[in-house]
Amino acid sequence: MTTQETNTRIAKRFFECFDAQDLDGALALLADDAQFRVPGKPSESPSAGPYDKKRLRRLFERILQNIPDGVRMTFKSVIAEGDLVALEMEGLGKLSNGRVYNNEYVILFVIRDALIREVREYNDTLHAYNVWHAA
Amino acid sequence: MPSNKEIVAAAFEKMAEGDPSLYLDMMADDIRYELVGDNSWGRIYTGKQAFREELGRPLMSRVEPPLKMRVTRILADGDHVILESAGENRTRSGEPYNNRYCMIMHMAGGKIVELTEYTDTDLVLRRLGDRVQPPEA
Repeated sequence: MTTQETNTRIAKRFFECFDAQDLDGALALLADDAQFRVPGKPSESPSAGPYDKKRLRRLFERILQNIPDGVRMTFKSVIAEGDLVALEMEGLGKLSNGRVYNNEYVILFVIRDALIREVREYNDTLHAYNVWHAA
Repeated sequence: MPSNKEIVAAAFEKMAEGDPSLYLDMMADDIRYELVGDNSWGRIYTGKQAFREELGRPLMSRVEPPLKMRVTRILADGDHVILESAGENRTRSGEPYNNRYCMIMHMAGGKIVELTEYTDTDLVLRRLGDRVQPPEA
Protein backbone atom coordinates (compact mmCIF):
# COMPACT_ATOMS: atom_id res chain seq x y z
CA MET A 1 0.00 0.00 0.00
CA THR A 2 1.38 3.45 -0.91
CA THR A 3 1.76 6.25 1.61
CA GLN A 4 -1.17 8.06 -0.02
CA GLU A 5 -3.39 4.98 0.29
CA THR A 6 -2.44 4.51 3.94
CA ASN A 7 -3.03 8.19 4.69
CA THR A 8 -6.36 8.16 2.89
CA ARG A 9 -7.49 5.17 4.97
CA ILE A 10 -6.53 7.00 8.17
CA ALA A 11 -8.35 10.19 7.13
CA LYS A 12 -11.50 8.28 6.20
CA ARG A 13 -11.29 6.18 9.37
CA PHE A 14 -11.34 9.38 11.46
CA PHE A 15 -14.76 10.33 10.09
CA GLU A 16 -16.05 6.75 10.03
CA CYS A 17 -15.37 6.69 13.79
CA PHE A 18 -17.07 10.06 14.25
CA ASP A 19 -20.06 8.81 12.25
CA ALA A 20 -20.21 5.71 14.52
CA GLN A 21 -19.96 7.96 17.64
CA ASP A 22 -16.66 6.27 18.48
CA LEU A 23 -14.78 9.32 19.77
CA ASP A 24 -12.00 7.24 21.38
CA GLY A 25 -11.37 5.58 18.02
CA ALA A 26 -11.33 8.91 16.15
CA LEU A 27 -9.08 10.70 18.64
CA ALA A 28 -6.63 7.77 18.78
CA LEU A 29 -5.75 8.60 15.16
CA LEU A 30 -4.54 12.08 16.17
CA ALA A 31 -1.01 12.85 17.36
CA ASP A 32 -0.97 14.22 20.90
CA ASP A 33 -0.03 17.67 19.62
CA ALA A 34 -2.41 17.64 16.64
CA GLN A 35 -4.36 20.77 15.81
CA PHE A 36 -7.85 20.84 14.28
CA ARG A 37 -9.07 24.13 12.83
CA VAL A 38 -12.81 24.77 12.66
CA PRO A 39 -13.55 27.38 9.97
CA GLY A 40 -14.75 30.89 10.67
CA LYS A 41 -13.61 33.89 12.64
CA PRO A 42 -13.42 33.17 16.40
CA SER A 43 -14.47 36.78 17.00
CA GLU A 44 -17.73 36.21 15.14
CA SER A 45 -18.56 32.53 15.50
CA PRO A 46 -18.33 30.76 18.89
CA SER A 47 -17.13 27.40 17.52
CA ALA A 48 -14.49 28.72 15.11
CA GLY A 49 -10.77 28.50 15.61
CA PRO A 50 -8.01 26.06 16.53
CA TYR A 51 -8.66 23.04 18.76
CA ASP A 52 -6.18 20.79 20.51
CA LYS A 53 -7.09 17.14 21.12
CA LYS A 54 -8.68 17.71 24.52
CA ARG A 55 -10.84 20.59 23.35
CA LEU A 56 -11.78 18.70 20.18
CA ARG A 57 -13.19 15.86 22.30
CA ARG A 58 -15.41 18.35 24.13
CA LEU A 59 -16.58 19.82 20.80
CA PHE A 60 -17.42 16.38 19.41
CA GLU A 61 -19.17 15.40 22.65
CA ARG A 62 -21.27 18.58 22.48
CA ILE A 63 -22.21 17.85 18.85
CA LEU A 64 -23.26 14.29 19.67
CA GLN A 65 -25.18 15.37 22.78
CA ASN A 66 -27.24 17.62 20.51
CA ILE A 67 -27.54 15.09 17.66
CA PRO A 68 -28.39 11.87 19.55
CA ASP A 69 -28.60 9.73 16.40
CA GLY A 70 -25.18 10.98 15.24
CA VAL A 71 -24.03 12.71 12.10
CA ARG A 72 -23.99 10.60 8.92
CA MET A 73 -20.81 11.47 7.01
CA THR A 74 -20.81 10.66 3.28
CA PHE A 75 -17.55 10.76 1.31
CA LYS A 76 -17.79 12.51 -2.05
CA SER A 77 -14.17 12.68 -3.24
CA VAL A 78 -10.63 12.01 -2.08
CA ILE A 79 -7.51 13.81 -3.28
CA ALA A 80 -4.11 12.92 -1.82
CA GLU A 81 -0.49 13.92 -2.38
CA GLY A 82 2.44 13.04 -0.13
CA ASP A 83 1.43 13.61 3.49
CA LEU A 84 -1.71 15.57 2.52
CA VAL A 85 -5.21 14.14 2.14
CA ALA A 86 -8.32 16.13 1.23
CA LEU A 87 -11.76 14.61 1.82
CA GLU A 88 -14.86 16.16 0.34
CA MET A 89 -17.88 15.14 2.40
CA GLU A 90 -21.48 15.79 3.26
CA GLY A 91 -22.78 15.56 6.83
CA LEU A 92 -26.40 15.05 7.89
CA GLY A 93 -27.87 14.99 11.37
CA LYS A 94 -31.00 16.06 13.22
CA LEU A 95 -30.65 18.09 16.40
CA SER A 96 -32.80 17.44 19.49
CA ASN A 97 -34.42 20.86 18.89
CA GLY A 98 -35.61 19.70 15.45
CA ARG A 99 -33.11 21.66 13.36
CA VAL A 100 -31.38 19.74 10.56
CA TYR A 101 -27.63 20.07 10.17
CA ASN A 102 -26.76 19.25 6.57
CA ASN A 103 -23.36 20.69 5.75
CA GLU A 104 -20.83 20.24 2.96
CA TYR A 105 -17.14 19.98 3.75
CA VAL A 106 -13.68 19.77 2.39
CA ILE A 107 -11.26 18.66 5.09
CA LEU A 108 -7.50 18.71 4.68
CA PHE A 109 -5.34 16.39 6.74
CA VAL A 110 -1.60 16.37 7.29
CA ILE A 111 -0.64 12.78 8.18
CA ARG A 112 2.85 11.62 9.07
CA ASP A 113 4.01 8.29 10.50
CA ALA A 114 0.40 7.05 10.52
CA LEU A 115 -0.82 9.86 12.80
CA ILE A 116 -2.94 12.89 11.94
CA ARG A 117 -0.87 16.02 12.68
CA GLU A 118 -3.16 18.76 11.42
CA VAL A 119 -6.73 19.10 10.21
CA ARG A 120 -8.18 22.12 8.46
CA GLU A 121 -11.90 22.09 7.88
CA TYR A 122 -13.87 24.20 5.40
CA ASN A 123 -17.66 24.18 5.34
CA ASP A 124 -20.72 26.37 4.84
CA THR A 125 -20.08 28.36 8.02
CA LEU A 126 -23.28 30.37 7.68
CA HIS A 127 -25.34 27.17 7.70
CA ALA A 128 -23.39 25.97 10.76
CA TYR A 129 -23.97 29.28 12.55
CA ASN A 130 -27.68 29.30 11.72
CA VAL A 131 -28.20 25.74 12.94
CA TRP A 132 -26.01 25.82 16.05
CA HIS A 133 -25.96 29.41 17.29
CA ALA A 134 -28.76 31.53 15.81
CA ALA A 135 -31.69 32.34 18.09
CA MET B 1 4.42 21.12 -20.63
CA PRO B 2 3.88 22.48 -17.10
CA SER B 3 1.95 20.32 -14.65
CA ASN B 4 -1.55 21.24 -13.49
CA LYS B 5 -0.06 22.22 -10.14
CA GLU B 6 2.48 24.53 -11.81
CA ILE B 7 -0.23 26.15 -13.96
CA VAL B 8 -2.44 26.86 -10.94
CA ALA B 9 0.51 28.04 -8.82
CA ALA B 10 1.59 30.51 -11.53
CA ALA B 11 -1.94 31.92 -11.83
CA PHE B 12 -2.24 32.43 -8.10
CA GLU B 13 1.17 34.09 -7.85
CA LYS B 14 -0.47 36.78 -9.96
CA MET B 15 -3.62 36.72 -7.79
CA ALA B 16 -1.45 37.51 -4.78
CA GLU B 17 -0.46 40.71 -6.60
CA GLY B 18 -4.11 41.46 -7.44
CA ASP B 19 -3.85 40.39 -11.09
CA PRO B 20 -6.59 37.87 -12.04
CA SER B 21 -5.60 37.61 -15.73
CA LEU B 22 -3.93 34.18 -15.60
CA TYR B 23 -6.66 32.80 -13.32
CA LEU B 24 -9.32 33.88 -15.81
CA ASP B 25 -7.23 32.58 -18.73
CA MET B 26 -7.02 29.12 -17.22
CA MET B 27 -10.80 28.82 -16.81
CA ALA B 28 -12.47 26.83 -19.59
CA ASP B 29 -15.20 28.82 -21.33
CA ASP B 30 -17.76 26.27 -20.14
CA ILE B 31 -16.42 25.99 -16.59
CA ARG B 32 -18.78 24.70 -13.91
CA TYR B 33 -18.00 26.94 -10.92
CA GLU B 34 -19.74 26.01 -7.68
CA LEU B 35 -19.60 28.26 -4.65
CA VAL B 36 -20.74 26.08 -1.76
CA GLY B 37 -23.30 27.64 0.55
CA ASP B 38 -27.00 27.91 1.27
CA ASN B 39 -27.18 31.66 0.62
CA SER B 40 -27.51 34.15 -2.24
CA TRP B 41 -23.88 33.69 -3.33
CA GLY B 42 -23.91 29.90 -3.15
CA ARG B 43 -24.86 28.32 -6.48
CA ILE B 44 -23.39 26.84 -9.63
CA TYR B 45 -22.18 29.43 -12.13
CA THR B 46 -22.15 27.78 -15.56
CA GLY B 47 -19.60 29.22 -17.97
CA LYS B 48 -16.85 31.81 -17.60
CA GLN B 49 -19.19 34.59 -18.70
CA ALA B 50 -21.67 33.75 -15.92
CA PHE B 51 -18.80 33.54 -13.42
CA ARG B 52 -17.57 37.02 -14.39
CA GLU B 53 -21.00 38.63 -14.64
CA GLU B 54 -22.97 36.95 -11.86
CA LEU B 55 -20.22 36.33 -9.30
CA GLY B 56 -17.30 38.59 -10.23
CA ARG B 57 -19.21 41.83 -10.75
CA PRO B 58 -21.37 41.59 -7.59
CA LEU B 59 -18.26 40.61 -5.58
CA MET B 60 -16.16 43.50 -6.87
CA SER B 61 -19.00 45.96 -6.24
CA ARG B 62 -18.45 45.16 -2.53
CA VAL B 63 -14.69 44.53 -2.35
CA GLU B 64 -12.08 47.24 -2.83
CA PRO B 65 -10.05 46.27 -5.92
CA PRO B 66 -7.76 44.62 -6.62
CA LEU B 67 -8.84 41.34 -5.00
CA LYS B 68 -5.78 39.60 -3.58
CA MET B 69 -5.40 35.95 -2.57
CA ARG B 70 -2.21 34.41 -1.20
CA VAL B 71 -1.69 30.65 -1.59
CA THR B 72 -1.14 28.84 1.68
CA ARG B 73 -1.11 25.27 0.38
CA ILE B 74 -1.48 23.46 -2.92
CA LEU B 75 -1.72 19.75 -3.70
CA ALA B 76 -2.38 17.79 -6.84
CA ASP B 77 -3.60 14.29 -7.56
CA GLY B 78 -4.15 13.29 -11.19
CA ASP B 79 -6.53 15.76 -12.83
CA HIS B 80 -7.32 17.50 -9.54
CA VAL B 81 -5.64 20.41 -7.81
CA ILE B 82 -6.62 21.68 -4.38
CA LEU B 83 -5.61 25.17 -3.44
CA GLU B 84 -5.90 26.79 -0.03
CA SER B 85 -5.55 30.53 0.03
CA ALA B 86 -6.00 33.53 2.27
CA GLY B 87 -7.51 36.80 1.10
CA GLU B 88 -6.11 40.12 2.28
CA ASN B 89 -8.76 42.61 1.27
CA ARG B 90 -11.05 45.38 2.40
CA THR B 91 -14.66 46.11 1.59
CA ARG B 92 -15.46 49.29 -0.32
CA SER B 93 -16.73 50.70 2.99
CA GLY B 94 -13.29 50.08 4.53
CA GLU B 95 -13.85 46.98 6.70
CA PRO B 96 -11.27 44.18 6.62
CA TYR B 97 -12.34 41.27 4.47
CA ASN B 98 -9.77 38.56 5.10
CA ASN B 99 -11.46 35.37 4.06
CA ARG B 100 -9.97 31.91 3.57
CA TYR B 101 -10.66 29.71 0.60
CA CYS B 102 -10.30 26.09 -0.40
CA MET B 103 -10.81 25.40 -4.09
CA ILE B 104 -11.03 21.98 -5.69
CA MET B 105 -10.18 22.23 -9.37
CA HIS B 106 -10.74 19.58 -12.02
CA MET B 107 -8.30 20.24 -14.85
CA ALA B 108 -8.36 19.16 -18.49
CA GLY B 109 -5.89 20.29 -21.15
CA GLY B 110 -4.38 22.87 -18.81
CA LYS B 111 -7.78 24.51 -18.11
CA ILE B 112 -10.13 24.39 -15.13
CA VAL B 113 -13.31 22.64 -16.22
CA GLU B 114 -14.86 22.35 -12.76
CA LEU B 115 -14.15 24.32 -9.63
CA THR B 116 -15.75 23.92 -6.20
CA GLU B 117 -15.05 26.75 -3.80
CA TYR B 118 -15.44 26.47 -0.03
CA THR B 119 -15.14 29.69 1.92
CA ASP B 120 -16.29 31.24 5.20
CA THR B 121 -19.84 32.01 4.07
CA ASP B 122 -20.72 33.53 7.45
CA LEU B 123 -18.00 36.14 6.88
CA VAL B 124 -19.17 36.68 3.29
CA LEU B 125 -22.67 37.60 4.45
CA ARG B 126 -21.46 39.66 7.42
CA ARG B 127 -19.04 41.74 5.37
CA LEU B 128 -20.51 41.75 1.86
CA GLY B 129 -24.22 41.19 2.47
CA ASP B 130 -26.40 39.38 -0.04
CA ARG B 131 -25.30 39.01 -3.63
CA VAL B 132 -26.84 41.89 -5.58
CA GLN B 133 -26.34 42.34 -9.31
CA PRO B 134 -24.97 45.86 -9.86
CA PRO B 135 -26.52 47.89 -12.72
CA GLU B 136 -24.73 47.90 -16.06
CA ALA B 137 -21.93 50.49 -16.20
